[in-house]
Amino acid sequence: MPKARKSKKLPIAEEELNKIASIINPSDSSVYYFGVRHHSPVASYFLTKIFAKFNPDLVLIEGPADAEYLIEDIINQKSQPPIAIHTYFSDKRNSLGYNGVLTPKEEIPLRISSWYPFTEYSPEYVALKLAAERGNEVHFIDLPLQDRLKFEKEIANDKSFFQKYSQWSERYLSESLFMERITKKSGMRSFNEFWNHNFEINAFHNSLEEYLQRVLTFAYTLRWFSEQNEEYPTWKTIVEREKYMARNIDYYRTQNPDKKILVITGAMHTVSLPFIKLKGKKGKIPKEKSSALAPYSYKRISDLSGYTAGIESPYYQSLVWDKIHQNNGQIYNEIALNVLINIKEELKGSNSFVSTADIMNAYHMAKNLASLRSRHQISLEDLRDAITASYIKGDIEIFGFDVIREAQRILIGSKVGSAFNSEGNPLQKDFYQQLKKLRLPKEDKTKNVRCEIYKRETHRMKSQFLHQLHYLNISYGKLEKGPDYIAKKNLELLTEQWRVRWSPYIDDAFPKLLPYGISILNVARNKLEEQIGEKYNSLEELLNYLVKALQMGFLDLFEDLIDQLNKRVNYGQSFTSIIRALSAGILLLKYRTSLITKYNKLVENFVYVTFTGATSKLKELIQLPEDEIEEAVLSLRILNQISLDYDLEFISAEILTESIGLLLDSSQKIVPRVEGAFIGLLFSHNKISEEEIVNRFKGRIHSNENIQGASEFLIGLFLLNKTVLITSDKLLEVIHTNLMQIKYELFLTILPGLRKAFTSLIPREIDYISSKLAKLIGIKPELDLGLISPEALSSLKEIDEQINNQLQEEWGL
Amino acid sequence: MSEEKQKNPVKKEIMRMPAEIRFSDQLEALKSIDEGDKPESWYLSPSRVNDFIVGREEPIKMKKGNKTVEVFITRKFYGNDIMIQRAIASLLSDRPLLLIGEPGTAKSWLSENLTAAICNNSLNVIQGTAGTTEDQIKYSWNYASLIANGPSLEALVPAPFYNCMKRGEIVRFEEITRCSHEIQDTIISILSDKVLAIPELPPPNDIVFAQKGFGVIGTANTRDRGVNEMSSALKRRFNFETVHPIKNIKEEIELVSKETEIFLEKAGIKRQPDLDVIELIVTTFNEMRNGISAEGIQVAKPSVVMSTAEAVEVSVNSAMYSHYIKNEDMNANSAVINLVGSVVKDNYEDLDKLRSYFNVIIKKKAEDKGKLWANYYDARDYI
Ligand SMILES: Nc1ncnc2c1ncn2[C@@H]1O[C@H](COP(=O)(O)OP(=O)(O)O)[C@@H](O)[C@H]1O
Ligand SMILES: [Mg+2]
Repeated sequence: MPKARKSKKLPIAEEELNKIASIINPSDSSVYYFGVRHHSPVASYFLTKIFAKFNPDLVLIEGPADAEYLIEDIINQKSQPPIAIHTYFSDKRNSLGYNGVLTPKEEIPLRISSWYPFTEYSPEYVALKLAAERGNEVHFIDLPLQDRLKFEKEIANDKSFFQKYSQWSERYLSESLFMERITKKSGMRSFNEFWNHNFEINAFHNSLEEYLQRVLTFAYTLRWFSEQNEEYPTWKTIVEREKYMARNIDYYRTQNPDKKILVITGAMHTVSLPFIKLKGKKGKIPKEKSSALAPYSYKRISDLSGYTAGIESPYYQSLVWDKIHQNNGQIYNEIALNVLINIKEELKGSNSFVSTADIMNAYHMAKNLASLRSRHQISLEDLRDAITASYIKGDIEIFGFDVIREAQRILIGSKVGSAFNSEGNPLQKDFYQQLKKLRLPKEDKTKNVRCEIYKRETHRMKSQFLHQLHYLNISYGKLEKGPDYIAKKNLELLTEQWRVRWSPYIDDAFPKLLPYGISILNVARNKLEEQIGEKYNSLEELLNYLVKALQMGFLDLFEDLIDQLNKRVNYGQSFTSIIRALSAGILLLKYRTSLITKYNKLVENFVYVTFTGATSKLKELIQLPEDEIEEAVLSLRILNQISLDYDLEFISAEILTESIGLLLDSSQKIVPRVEGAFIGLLFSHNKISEEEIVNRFKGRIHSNENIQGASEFLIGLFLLNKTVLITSDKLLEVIHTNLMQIKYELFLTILPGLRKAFTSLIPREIDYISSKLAKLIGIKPELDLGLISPEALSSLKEIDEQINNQLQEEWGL
Repeated sequence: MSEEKQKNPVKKEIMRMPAEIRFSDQLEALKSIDEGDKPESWYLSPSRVNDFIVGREEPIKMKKGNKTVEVFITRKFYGNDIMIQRAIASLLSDRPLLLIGEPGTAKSWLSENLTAAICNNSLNVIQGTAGTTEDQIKYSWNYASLIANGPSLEALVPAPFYNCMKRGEIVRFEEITRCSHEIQDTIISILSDKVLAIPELPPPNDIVFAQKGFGVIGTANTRDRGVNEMSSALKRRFNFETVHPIKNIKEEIELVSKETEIFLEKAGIKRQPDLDVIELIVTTFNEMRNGISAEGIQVAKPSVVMSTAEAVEVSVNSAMYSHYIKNEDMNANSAVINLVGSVVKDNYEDLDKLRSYFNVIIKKKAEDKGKLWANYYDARDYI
């Protein structure tokens, strides 16, 4: 609960307050510093006011200086937000030292990319558009990515920093202890709520001056705290960036002595930049152009929100922007009502019916919540809470899904932007460069390409590239032959056989992939990462991605994947699907070890968790519906094989045998085939005596229930462990004598089952057993198979076939 | 499993005062600093109601006679604070509120404390059962007086709905889904018309209009079929809040030890609850309830709910057992002994589950975490 939410003055000293005042009302009337937060409609709103008031001639914006050439493309009519500047750096000289660590080998440079997304209401975009309308000159003044990385290298203490760079490039404003504390202290559930409360909803009625006072005071405090604690790992970079910006500002100022300059940066820089006294030349930028404009989507902007300064609900904010210039001040309440109505409409026809009374109630509730939380109007959080309380009729976990998904979908929105690139499509360029580098044909006819993936690094790279294209649906190559880890086929193959063919249509594929990156590798990786990150991946999908990650060479995604797989396995899976996952894990361990030594431990851990997960599911087996028994027992056999595999020394068969022992002792009814399988399993671990097997079998055959239980029992037993028959004379004898005792009609009813039980034996075993049996009943095998004539053999075959047919007709076997 | 069975065998109920009396000093203190706007009939404003439920860090200074005393507002409900805000906002709007969840998640406790803070009266309670009748909901008659004087206000015996509508207070309807469909229909008509007709009485007493502030907090148990079978007309009239078991082990430990302490004090036993032992109990409850251990290993869930309320019960019983039978402080042994009774009610499979939990999970913890857990593991022989 918010406590001291009344706007108290922050305990800031006189001197600091003067500093802030000097930013708001500067003595030097030629430069004005304006602080924003990315994607804040209210910031954009006040920005338009400052344009009108200050009337600048030149506008400087916190954007990467080396991407300045894209400004024309951004404001071009053909570009429509959401769009993003995508800049990237290819570490050809291994200056970061991660080539070969984060890339398959040293010769392959690490590529790092960074995104600057804009919506139509992002202050930077609004400024670019306004400046263009007014005919103002505009420049980007921030440090290029490449130089930024140089500083970050020193503080990046582990490789994950660069590995996940693109996700983190906006992390400055979201990963701060100060923000965490202030959020908690004010009783808000997230920093976004804190921000929306103080700097959007409760601020937009402010005068320009009051607003700036609020934002800059907060930014000042945040900055002060962060500086004291050096809490951003990237603090040093922030300082360097500001130096770079300050020099640039000084440069443009000296170049344009008579012009009024408006400097637009994140508020945290705005409270520092005016006080950095640096004389400047124009900041250096790399020669090579390494940026592109990419179409972006509301969805992706919102996806950022988990780990960076993205926003939760881009569409919602766009509604704010659409209405913000109206004089009627109740815009947030109006929007809330509209959203409530929208959701109701979308839910029509679904199971979650919402009535008009619910809308009204939700609206009132949202208003009550807003006032309980001291807000002037309904915030996104109030809206969400009202939806939860009024629209979900019942247990949120059972009935909440539709409503929450619909609300989420509406608030995020589906808008996709379009980007105009006057310099051509960089992704297309990369594709052709790769073809050349990997010596892949660029011809409009079919060619064969062989990749010896285990032997040769270059071949492996070729294969990875081809897999990436395939994954991205760029129709260039088709895998004809090769190990298939999903179907578990051809695993022994050491080479892949591809058929490839270039065609001019390929070029059509690139524009829509641009939002994911500007190299094939990055795009494939980002896409896969996005898929992996989806909330509701099934076990099968995740396994599929694991294989994809392997094939495309994104081993570093393993960690995430395995993590998710572990969670999945523990969450409502059936026994058989867990076993499927388990055997996939084992396959990975066995067949790709050479490739994934680094990741072996992870896979081992996965196998371990899956193995224990499977054992805890054994209970499911004892009362399975008929149509699931077959598969389950086969799965149990796999589980047993794994538990007996000495290579997997981290697996303890104890857990398995112990749980089965418990189940067998628990005096619960068990499906006969499963009982047989359990017994067979225990016998293969020497946990059970011949005696007990025999007794269990007797129990089945003499049971007053269904005599077929006996054959079912044997099916299960032999599937798991055939050696019983061979090692144990007793069992065979008991089977024999007991069968002899039952009535002929009864015998007929279990015959098909018996036959099935014995089909799991191979010919040699049958021979062995028949001779044992012959001895038992005191006859000699009469046929000397060695001397049999071809004629006899074929007539035997005929007889056998006849029996088979008959069995099939009568018993459906 | 019926909820009655899971209730505390130690008759805590008798010793328990209604919240408005038990916490009267806290309510008074909050009242003394209450400046916020509030609906006419509310005792405290919405923000202060919220404070009462989730507690305040700083004590409130209050004049008592000519002394100034400090009153701490304690946390009554552990868990999702946002849910509490929503519940209060629901009560502010015209909607009745239905708290649903598994048994022992403090639905009744929350309802009691909300009404204590909002109405300063948590005693307008209807206990829903299959046999609940209209009389118990609306009003009934004193037949002697009825026969002697004919229908009159004097002969009318008010029930919670009558009282609350008249005074603008909140009715607590416990286990609402256990009532028959006829009773549920009755509730629907009262809720939609906001009037209670008394056809037996002559005007103007033949009708009671709900005063502002009238409301309903229902509770329902998701282990019962009831919630899903509730008539959709009734469902539509309620705002639902799902009350989840406490997720955070630390909070659960805090709650359990606080409750144990209060109990020991009341029973006049001069011993302190042992936080370590409580950690063992709460961890077991938490992991078995969630079906997964802190190490990420799957745990078979027993058929009983393993609620926090029962964790309190086990903790209290374990302290009592140790005190009266062994003359010692609560410890791993007494914890396990009392755990068994709580987990294994009428289902022997649950015993196996508890055993295998000890054999796999506690064994691992004993290896990794040392003595305390090793003792606990050793005590498994009692299972
Ligand atoms: N989240 C919680 N916060 C506070 N107390 C709790 C919580 N969960 C359980 N309890 C304890 O459980 C006891 C019983 O809860 P009760 O209200 O009877 O449960 P329900 O009505 O949900 O079945 C409470 O008195 C309290 O001691
Ligand atoms: Mg209850």
